[in-house]
Amino acid sequence: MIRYFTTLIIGLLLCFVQARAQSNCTHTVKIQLKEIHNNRSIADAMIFVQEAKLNAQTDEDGAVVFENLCTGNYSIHIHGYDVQDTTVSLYINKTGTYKLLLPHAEHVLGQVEIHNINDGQLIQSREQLDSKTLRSNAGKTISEQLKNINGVTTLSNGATIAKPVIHGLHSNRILMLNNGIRQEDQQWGTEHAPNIDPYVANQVTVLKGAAGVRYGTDAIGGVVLVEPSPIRWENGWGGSVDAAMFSNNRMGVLSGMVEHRFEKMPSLAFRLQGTLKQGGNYQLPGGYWAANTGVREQNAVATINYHTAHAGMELYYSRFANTLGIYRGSHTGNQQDLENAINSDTPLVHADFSYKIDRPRQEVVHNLLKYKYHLDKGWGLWSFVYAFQNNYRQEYDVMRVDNGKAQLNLSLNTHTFNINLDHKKIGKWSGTVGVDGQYQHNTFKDGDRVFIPSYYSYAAALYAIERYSFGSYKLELGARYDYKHFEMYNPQGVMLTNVLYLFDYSNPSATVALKKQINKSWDASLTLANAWRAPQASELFSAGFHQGAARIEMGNKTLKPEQSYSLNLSSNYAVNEKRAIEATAYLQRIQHFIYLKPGADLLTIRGYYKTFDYTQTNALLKGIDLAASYHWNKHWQSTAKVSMLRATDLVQKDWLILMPSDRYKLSTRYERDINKHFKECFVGLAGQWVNQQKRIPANFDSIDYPRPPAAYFLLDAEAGVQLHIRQQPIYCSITASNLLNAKYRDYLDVFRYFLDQPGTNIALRFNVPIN
Amino acid sequence: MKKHTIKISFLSILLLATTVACNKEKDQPTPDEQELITTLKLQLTEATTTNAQTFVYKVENGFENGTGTIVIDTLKLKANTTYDAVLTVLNEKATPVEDITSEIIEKSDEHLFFFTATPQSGAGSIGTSNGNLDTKGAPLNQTFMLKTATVGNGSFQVVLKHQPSDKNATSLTTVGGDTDLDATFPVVLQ
Repeated sequence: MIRYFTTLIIGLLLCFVQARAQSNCTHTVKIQLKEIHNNRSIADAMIFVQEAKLNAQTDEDGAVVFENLCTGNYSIHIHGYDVQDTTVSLYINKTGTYKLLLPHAEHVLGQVEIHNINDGQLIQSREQLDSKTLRSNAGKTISEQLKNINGVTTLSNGATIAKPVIHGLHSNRILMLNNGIRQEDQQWGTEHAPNIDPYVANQVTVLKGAAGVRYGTDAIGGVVLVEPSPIRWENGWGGSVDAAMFSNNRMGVLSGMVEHRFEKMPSLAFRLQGTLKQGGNYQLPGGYWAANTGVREQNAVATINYHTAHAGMELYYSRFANTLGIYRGSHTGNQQDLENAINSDTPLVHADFSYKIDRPRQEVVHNLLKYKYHLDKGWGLWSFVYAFQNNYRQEYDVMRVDNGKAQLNLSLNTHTFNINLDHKKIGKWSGTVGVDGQYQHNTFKDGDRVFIPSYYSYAAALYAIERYSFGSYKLELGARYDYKHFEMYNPQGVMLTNVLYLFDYSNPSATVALKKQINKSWDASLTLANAWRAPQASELFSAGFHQGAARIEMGNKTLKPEQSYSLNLSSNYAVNEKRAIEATAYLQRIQHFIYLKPGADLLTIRGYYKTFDYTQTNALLKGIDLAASYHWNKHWQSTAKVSMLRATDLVQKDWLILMPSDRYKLSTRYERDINKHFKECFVGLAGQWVNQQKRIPANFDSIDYPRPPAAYFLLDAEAGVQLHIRQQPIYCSITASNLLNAKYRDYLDVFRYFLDQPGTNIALRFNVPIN
Repeated sequence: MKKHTIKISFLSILLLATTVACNKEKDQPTPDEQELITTLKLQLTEATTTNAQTFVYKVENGFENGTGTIVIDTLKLKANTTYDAVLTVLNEKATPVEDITSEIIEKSDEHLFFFTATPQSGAGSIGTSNGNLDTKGAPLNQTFMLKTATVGNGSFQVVLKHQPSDKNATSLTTVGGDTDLDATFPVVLQ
């Protein structure tokens, strides 16, 4: 799993018991896993030989035997309950026994978020962006990077503000975990992007479909896990420098990291990381500039890590701060203004290139402080996590008289704690039990624009997930009970006086999953899950103008929690060395699905406005994600991906609005080492076709205008190399997105009314690891 | 030692949760409607006389109870007559009532009153001219001359634009900018 890290943490010992020369493809190799400290055998770990596509489980002596291996380099993946997921490179040229000394799982837990360990076993349809993919997409926002995952799209406000959409669900219906902590950053608005710096991540995992039992309420659509790389294992200093430059908005990004493990105190290590980013207005096909769409970002992370053989702690602090310009023409006064903007072929607000960020703009600061303590004692592995998050969001509107102040100053403070036990095997059962708690306070400043009420919320939960293996089957059972209490102070009436509302929600949820290893190269899993989501403050109480869409949205205090029931079937099949297929099919029914229903027009001082009321229906979402890859030869690989979704309103017997259309992606990549100075040289080309969304409600024209934008095709290209100058590797790459400078708009982009998507963007990236 | 750490952390959380949980009622912030406009007043003085009339267009928004007070006066005017017109923009929800006109004049280059009469000409129509100018010599139209046509009925729309892109535009669709106020008076010429 964490390929990078492995060579550093493993003491690899090779002892050739039998050594005799043999011809190709006749080597019989025994691999034996031992604990590094006490030489105990590690049983029940899975060993996968990537090149040979061989899989086996270690026996009581921690051993497996593979026959008929050819001479060559092999990547051996090891995972299991007792060991950290690991990859080792082995050169095999003779029959023999290879003894691998691994640290016991608890020794490295301090390095890796506890969820990581559990996820290794959670049966759920998942897809990952590894460090390599993250490196070749560096500089993009986290949401843009997630688009690389089949079944994930984005809901955006132009090119700079985007949030992920998993299987058609977004905002509060998906969870993002930043280093194991549930990100609480006011994601209720479409214009609220997740406040996470992707440079922190070494791996990003998307769990598709409901994962509420482990991760808590709201995870109806899925979970995004953003995980930093484990801290340095060796003594001494290490680090890296990253730089990226983008042609379209003349954006520059610089990120640096240093880490150190003390020689005199090897249990202690720390890491510091920082990112700076600045971009200007972006350019549209046809040479137009999108006025006031610049971005500035300054992020910092500090970690201290201390561990002993059976316990450890981590103190983690991260700060994310950005300023985002919002296209001036997107803040419209009334319906007429909006129609004028829609009917104009070119942007109504003219601009040249500039780094200046005017009104409207947002300034957001997100602070996260996390303390984690873990202990391997008694019943198993205990962990205790406490985190405090503060999210401060300021929105500066276009004003008649600029008084220098923000019109919205939202502050969201969240305290979370978690106690988790990965218990020792009881018979054949292994699993996790835990307690979650949360306290949250959301408030704003006196005199702010009416947005959402200030509120306090308290939440607590108990959960247990147990796994049982028999033969080639693995069964997983999970249960959770949540309780949530809200106190909301809603300013209402003509005089906007605060009225207190209390809400209490409690709900059990459950999951049942079954995985079968049909044969060495084929597995299939089935997940039945149920999850729920309490209505959020904006859905209960919003009452006001939505400037981007020139409409009025009205909250509804009688909303019930959403209940989701889903069935997820996924399968990985490696036909042979050359061909592999990954498929996920899902069926999800959401009771009391909250959406905006058009209401009567309302007269305001700015003319008539369309109004929308929050209301509930029952929804059915079904779809598939398919990926097939083919290796033409050792260097050349092609991949095809298809993602389809059908979302219906079961009450109206009609399509649901604002759902992503079908999309198809074809990519091909050629990669090879030229010599010892030029390694992993690659060129790639990817084309994506996105259909026009024609599955829209029958009353679409009375809700929205114009109809969803036309289908489009995008071509991206990439090339890169890993330079080795003396011992120093340098990763360089150049990528071009929208190579054909296609003029297009996307249905899930709120700016589709006003602007085309950006034109060609060429990016140059450098990454220099320092050891 | 380790058990200790857990205990202390646990207790501190509980303590934190209880201390922040008091005295909330008083501390709640009150929002405000930003730069609210409720009322447009059109004062017409028959040229060369002192016969002044004031017409009101008021829409007070209060979403919780639907739209608040609405007052829309009808422009009952003499046919074939010239009037001197003055526009006043108010926020009547504020106490004392806030006169926004001075802010508009202060930022005159960022504002424009735009008029649309229906029908455009003939019986029941209204013509406008001689609008005052902003600091850069482009139209502002906060004061202007209004001329009524022959006997008939129609309507007169006054739109206040913020940051228009073309102040000399002849159609509302090409003026640009965003709308701060959009008031349509029914017209009766007799």
